[in-house]
Amino acid sequence: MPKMVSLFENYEQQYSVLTADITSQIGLLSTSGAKDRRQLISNIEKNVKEAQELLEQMDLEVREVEMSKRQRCGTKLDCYRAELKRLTLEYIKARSIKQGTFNYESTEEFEDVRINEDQKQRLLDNSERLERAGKRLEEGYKVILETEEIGTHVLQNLNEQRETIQRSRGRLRETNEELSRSSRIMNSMIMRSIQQRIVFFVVGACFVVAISLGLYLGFSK
Amino acid sequence: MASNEQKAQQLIAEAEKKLSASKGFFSSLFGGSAKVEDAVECYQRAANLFKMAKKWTEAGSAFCEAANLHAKAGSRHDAASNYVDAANAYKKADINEAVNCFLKAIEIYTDMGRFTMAAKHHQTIAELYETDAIDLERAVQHYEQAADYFRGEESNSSANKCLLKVAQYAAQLENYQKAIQIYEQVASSSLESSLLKYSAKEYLFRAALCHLCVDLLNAQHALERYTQMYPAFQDSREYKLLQTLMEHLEEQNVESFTEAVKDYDSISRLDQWYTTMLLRIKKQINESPDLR
Repeated sequence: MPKMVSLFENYEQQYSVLTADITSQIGLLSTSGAKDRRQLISNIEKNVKEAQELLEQMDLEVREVEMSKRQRCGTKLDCYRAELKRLTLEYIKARSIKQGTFNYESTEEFEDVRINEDQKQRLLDNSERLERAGKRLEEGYKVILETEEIGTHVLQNLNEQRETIQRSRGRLRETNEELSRSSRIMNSMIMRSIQQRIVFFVVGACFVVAISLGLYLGFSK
Repeated sequence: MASNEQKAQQLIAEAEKKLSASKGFFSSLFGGSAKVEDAVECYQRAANLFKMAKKWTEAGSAFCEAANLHAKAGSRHDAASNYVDAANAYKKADINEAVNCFLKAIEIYTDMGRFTMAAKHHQTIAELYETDAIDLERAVQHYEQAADYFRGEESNSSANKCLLKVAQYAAQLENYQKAIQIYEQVASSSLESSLLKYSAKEYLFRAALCHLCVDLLNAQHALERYTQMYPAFQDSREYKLLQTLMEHLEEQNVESFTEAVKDYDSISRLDQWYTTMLLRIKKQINESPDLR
């Protein structure tokens, strides 16, 4: 019987070493790089497996312990089981927190990751963000279409204004031609009036000469 | 306001006195025309005072008197201007009188060869019939006349604007062939201009909707023709909507048709004209059930 108890105690020592290892490795998991992380994960999983096997061995041993000590050993075993469960949950949590920041090549590492509340929340946040982005995109598209419409109207107005300017230019040219024509007519009128004035003066001079000649001839007789 | 009205009445009385004085034989020999000019000025001042007093009918009739005197005196341009002023005053009280005054002004302007001015006034008359009198057929007539005059004066953009109005109301009055013809004509002329080619897809879309109101098969052929005319039309949302609508029309699927329209409308709002046309097209599905 003492042999049995000593065997149980031996298992206990091994278990405590394993749990200490697991705890320290979980601590390292949150700060490690991608390569170290893979190594740590495999180590933790191996240790957890070993711890589970130890607990099974201890369970078998407890059954063979005498009645007076069986109660105490059973309680201890329950505590160890609870501790291992807590460590397993801690490990899963530590692994899932860092999951988003690392690219894993193997899919094996995702095997026993369960969706916890944290992940659900993250999923909800992401879908909400997606929805918001979608709405923003739709609004952007509406604005683009509106801008296109405004652009079209602006181009139509520009075309109208171009036509107006072209018409005005045409009218200006016509006016310019009319003005040059009228200035030519005015010049010819001025020339004609000058001509007429010269003719008038010449005729007047002729008259004066004729009259003076007539008077001279009349008086000379 | 009352004082303005009284002053205006006094001016009209003064103008009438001057006119009756200018009718005598001796007065017509010695400065009759000056008295007529004074009378015209009195009428114009009276009209402006009536406008200030918001007596639109009286203002209109005063401007009309001034216009008639100008016409008798032979100054046609002034007569036309006064008729336009009279019409603008009548606009606020008596639309029929306003239209008559505009028509008198148009007559003078066309006689003078000022077709652009005549076209603008035809457009104004059309707008009056469109908004106030709500006589779409007459509005269409005046828009067509305006478009003709604008086209004659090489004001193509103004002509197109009037033609688009004609097409819009022609479609509303279920004269689809005319609407289609105009939309296609305006679209093809727009495609020739680097500035206007972006407007072409709207006109082609409208033409296609008019086609759909008549006949699905013709609409499909027309759509093919439009893509050849303007290859960029194929990438537009309008083209995609038309394709979807045609599919649903073939399937006689009212729900999908409505859904497609709703999806389009959620991004860019459809105006009254589009809504009317689409409802008419939808009505066709209900009226002609699938006989297969």
